[in-house]
Amino acid sequence: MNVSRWVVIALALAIVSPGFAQPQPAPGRGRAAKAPPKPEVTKDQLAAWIAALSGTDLEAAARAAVRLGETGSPVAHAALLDALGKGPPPSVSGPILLALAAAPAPGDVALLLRYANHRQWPVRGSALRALASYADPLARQRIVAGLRDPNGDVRRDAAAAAVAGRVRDAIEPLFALLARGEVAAAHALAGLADADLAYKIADQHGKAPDAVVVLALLEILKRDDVPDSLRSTLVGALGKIGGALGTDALREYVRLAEAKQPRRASVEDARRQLATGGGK
Amino acid sequence: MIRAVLVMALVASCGPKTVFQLSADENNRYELGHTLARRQLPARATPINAAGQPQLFAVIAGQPRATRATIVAFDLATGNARWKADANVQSRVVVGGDFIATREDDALVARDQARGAVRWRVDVPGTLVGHAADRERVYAVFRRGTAYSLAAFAGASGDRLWTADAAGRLGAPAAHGGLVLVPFLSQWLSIVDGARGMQLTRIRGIDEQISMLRVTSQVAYFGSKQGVFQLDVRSASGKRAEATYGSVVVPPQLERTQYGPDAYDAVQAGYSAFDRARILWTGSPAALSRDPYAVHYFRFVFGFAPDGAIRWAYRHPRVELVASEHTGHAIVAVSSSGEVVSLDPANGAIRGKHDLGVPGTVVGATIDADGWAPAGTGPAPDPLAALVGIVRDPDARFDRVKELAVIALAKRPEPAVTSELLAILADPRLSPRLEGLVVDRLVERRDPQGLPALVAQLGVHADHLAQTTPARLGAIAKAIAGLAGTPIADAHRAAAVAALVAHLEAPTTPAVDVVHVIAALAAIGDGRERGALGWHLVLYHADDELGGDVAWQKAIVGALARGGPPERALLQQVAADPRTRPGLVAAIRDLGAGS
Repeated sequence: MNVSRWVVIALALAIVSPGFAQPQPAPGRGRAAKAPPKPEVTKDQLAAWIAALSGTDLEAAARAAVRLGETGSPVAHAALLDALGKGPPPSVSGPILLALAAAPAPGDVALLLRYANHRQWPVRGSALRALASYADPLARQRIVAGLRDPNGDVRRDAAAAAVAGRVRDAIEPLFALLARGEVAAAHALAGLADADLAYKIADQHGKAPDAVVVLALLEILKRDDVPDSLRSTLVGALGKIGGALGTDALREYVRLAEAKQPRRASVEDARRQLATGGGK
Repeated sequence: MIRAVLVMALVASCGPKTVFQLSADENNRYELGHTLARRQLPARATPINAAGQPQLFAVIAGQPRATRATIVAFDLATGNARWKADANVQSRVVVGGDFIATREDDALVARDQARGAVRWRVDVPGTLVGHAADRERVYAVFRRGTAYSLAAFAGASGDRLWTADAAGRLGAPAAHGGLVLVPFLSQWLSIVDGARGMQLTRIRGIDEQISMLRVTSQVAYFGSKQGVFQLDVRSASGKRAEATYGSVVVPPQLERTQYGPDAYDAVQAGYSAFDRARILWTGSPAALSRDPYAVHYFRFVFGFAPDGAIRWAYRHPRVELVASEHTGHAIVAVSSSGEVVSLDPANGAIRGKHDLGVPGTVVGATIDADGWAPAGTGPAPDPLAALVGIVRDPDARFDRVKELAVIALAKRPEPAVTSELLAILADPRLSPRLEGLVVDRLVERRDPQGLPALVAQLGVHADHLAQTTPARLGAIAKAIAGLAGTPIADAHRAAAVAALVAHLEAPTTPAVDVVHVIAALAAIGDGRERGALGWHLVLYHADDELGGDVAWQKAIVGALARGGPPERALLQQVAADPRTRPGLVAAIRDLGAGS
């Protein structure tokens, strides 16, 4: 299959699969996520957890942060924000940051941005993951900047945050990371991919290490929201990559699909690719 | 061989006499005056050779080394090689009237100066300590066991004219207008009649040893590594204060630089590394304290003002200069690759550049060009650019010279100096020692006009995708801190604070650099920095790593303690937090800021 045909297919997919082709709404923009039921908390319990947040027992402080986050109450949120403003030890900062983001409020962002620059990388990573819950442009910019962090774990957190926050500005740096073989970028691009992006990922053969391109394509194929015509395009791309990586990915796709929709055209395409030696 | 036997027979018949004795008349002003008056000196500075042509004789190593070397005679006036001759040269070349003389294998060999042909050869009766020539004769000091002798040979025939034995150690001689100057037992300078071999008088060095000789066509100098005496009537005292004496300021970075070869050092009887570290001057030593001078140091030549400040600098490309001479109007130098360069002693301008035109490595050269002025003129080099070129030279052997150049550069008034020092600082090859020096000089400059250049250097941040990391952040921060109290434009200050805060907050800034950044912010922030520093304290006061760093504790507490009531309140709050690192609490209490 030549490139021009892929373009045609990708364009067609964009037209016929609006649900996949359109970016999903970013956090804070009306996504109808079903919130888990809040546990019943007594005033005394709340007070105890709030007190523990500033205590010297750091494990208890971290546990309290988690509990407070689960309550979703404004009082708990204010307490978390207050604790963060006092500079807790790093082992407590992370849980507070994530707990805070469980019920995001616009006023949190300024403080979260400070922690997104923390010298301890786990704190930095937690802050970036937390920022994914905020639609604030500064939060999104900081997530994109996190992809440039010298620490690989932080880049991984930033990539995950980019997916969670549907940060489209992250796509370009994610491709740059993909070209360097970063697995986190493959996962993130697969998570962000609409039809156009899926095609662009398929076109990375030769520009990025095969392993991460194959991984990204396989991750997209695993998604339930991908139209079968696009699946066939991606299967074709895997076949073109070929070798052990491409073949293994095709086998994996066939194995996963057999349990759900074994008669999909793309599955048949994959079987044909495997039968003819991976399309080479 | 037959000639050697004849010479020995002649010597035996003449009967050597012990001329250099422990007891003799010395420091006799009348005798010295009478002796010096015998010299036949030219009315104006001129080369030794009878033709009066400026020339040099270079020795080029054999290729490979085991093979015979080559002597090249080069005419400086025309820029052409006159002749070349294969010779196993094992000494300096000395220049006479119409001949040159060298030690080749175990013989003293004279060659015709016009064509290079061997004129005569006599076996060396022992180890050659050193030799010299005037227009008519060759003088050589030999050592046999512990016995030293000075002998004279006719330049025209090689006939041994006389021999003078010594009761102790002799150094390499010098010839001057018919006299032979010979260091004796490090204490004395014996002055011998070149025609007859008689000691005419001698000088005992009272203030310092006598181990160095240098002669030009008109002036003879003697001295040591400490300084130079002119051989005149006043030198009869042997004392610096009563003689025509001078010394120059040589920076410690140009170690082992000397006024001339050590006459007692066997290594310096030949061309050696000592020829590459020389003080170059002309005229009276007494004028050294008020006249400019130069120092040739391997690949470099520096022109100094009398107070020791560098006025100009020349950096020879790639290879070392193996020989140099001050002719009075030019500094002539020869490189190991055969380039001959003539510099203007006033400003370092290149007045002439030639090539010996012979392949191979030049091991040394004798320059006979006293009084010569090259015809060419060149533009005076930009001293700033010359110094920068030296500092950024990739040759890693000369860090000490680069140090000297940094010091000289930092003393210059041009506004561009700060940028140049920063550019030097950005060089990843810079050694830690030089880095420290550059930083110290940047701090010392206290140049507020240089702040934008410093801030520009702060523009680089750690970026995995761009593959960048900040370079020399701590050093730049130190330089900015050095601007405390200087008048800084508001816009420059704001930009500097913003750039510093970005590094303060950057997660990858090393703790040691964070300390310098805090100091810089406190030094120039003028209050703009307090918010960022306050948050910085809040974020890390309970952090095991940065919060536990003693230097950081002192820096952040010190910086905030200089603030107002809000900063003091913050310090109190932090000191009261049970999770604050204990050292930080102590630092706050030590400063009285948290009470």
